[in-house]
Amino acid sequence: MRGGRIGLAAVALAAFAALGPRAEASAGVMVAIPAGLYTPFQRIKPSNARGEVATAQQPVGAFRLDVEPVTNAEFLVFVTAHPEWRRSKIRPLFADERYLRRWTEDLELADEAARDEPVTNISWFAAEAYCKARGLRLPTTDQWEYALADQGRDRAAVRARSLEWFARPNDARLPAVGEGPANGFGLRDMVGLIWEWTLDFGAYATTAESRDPNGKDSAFVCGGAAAGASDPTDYPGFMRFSMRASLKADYTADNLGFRCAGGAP
Amino acid sequence: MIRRFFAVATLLGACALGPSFAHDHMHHDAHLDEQAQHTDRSIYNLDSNWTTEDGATVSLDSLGGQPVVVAMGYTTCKDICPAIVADMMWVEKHLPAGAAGRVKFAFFSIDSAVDTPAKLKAYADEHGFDPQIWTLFHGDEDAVRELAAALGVGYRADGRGGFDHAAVISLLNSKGEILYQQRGVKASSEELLNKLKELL
Repeated sequence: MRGGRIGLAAVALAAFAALGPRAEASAGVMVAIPAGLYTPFQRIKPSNARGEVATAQQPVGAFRLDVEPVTNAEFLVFVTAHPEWRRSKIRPLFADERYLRRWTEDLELADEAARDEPVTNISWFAAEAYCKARGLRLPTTDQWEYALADQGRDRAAVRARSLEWFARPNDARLPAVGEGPANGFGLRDMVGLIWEWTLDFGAYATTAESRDPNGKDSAFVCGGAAAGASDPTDYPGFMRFSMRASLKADYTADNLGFRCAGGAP
Repeated sequence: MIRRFFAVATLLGACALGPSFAHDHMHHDAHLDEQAQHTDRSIYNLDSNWTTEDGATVSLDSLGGQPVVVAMGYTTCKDICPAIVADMMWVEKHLPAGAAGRVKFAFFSIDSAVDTPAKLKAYADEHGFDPQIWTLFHGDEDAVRELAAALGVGYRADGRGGFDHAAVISLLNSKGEILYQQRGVKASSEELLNKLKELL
């Protein structure tokens, strides 16, 4: 599943067609996700609501989602065409100092194997810019979670894979994308490879500040977290929401990447 | 390491430090480039367009040239926004004599659908905002999302036609760099006021 053997110098000038066998097959490949209902991990409890709010299933409209996270080779094509997103050019407003730190140069990856690894050390601004250049967006948190929920298929196995991933020490390198099993929608690497940006990553970081200062809503304040969760046993879900709440848009990390979403096919 | 860092830090952070504990890059020492039109950390690098309450189409750097006190909210908000606006008005009221013309106050609506320029104008009139000092801004969803990201203002639709959003008041210097942020509604905004005074 590793990528082609095209020289890195050539890659700098390459178009998607020259991405190599694996990337050629899947670069920008998207699947249609049908509309449906899902139960968000976090209840939305209006700040001035009285009493408990029932956990409601939420409708999610049809959309398209990348089958796999965006790879280094794919992102290299983007920064080649858009110099302002190169490591040496990016403004600190848009990414912190770890941006693309695993690359060796502005237009040079560490080695061949890096081509098929998911691009990480990517800020929200950079991820959004990449998706916009493809006429796409980052998925909303609802879209991403709905895609992971996979209409309930293999829920236990997916949770187990998440937990196993949390427990595993990080490798020095990330595996290539596409090596994990596809879920029912045909999506790969939703868990077990990297964390992923969402369009509205900050949406659930608001509760502590925005709830009625005089209110008694304990959901998602310390010790109240479980009270605000639709399924308190969903530890991986709690982890994902906590992780997103800790992010800032310029933040980059070794295990934080993204995939893009689009409108209904 | 990062994966475990998240695992530990987010759990600790949720309890010990609050949701904005991590990665406070906004406050790194800025290496100011005095020559640059927009410094590297200026939010005026965002190239979004906005419409003011008077119907003028402007970019963010229309606020450049003096310190600006900035917040995001929406006019039909009943819970947190009045408190945010009250804090901003408190700061305005306590400005030193003669400073009134040298500071601007900016309110950006996160409700692209409802808060038309006319609605913003009515809101401004209702609050008696001096149009020489206050500007209210309407933008499309993309503009709002991008500015909110740059200012670190989390928000989401609350499912009842409103939004839950973070209470954040940012102080920008004349170049559009974030110098200070008040997070959460305070009993007094004295710290924000003092930081602002330092700029005058």
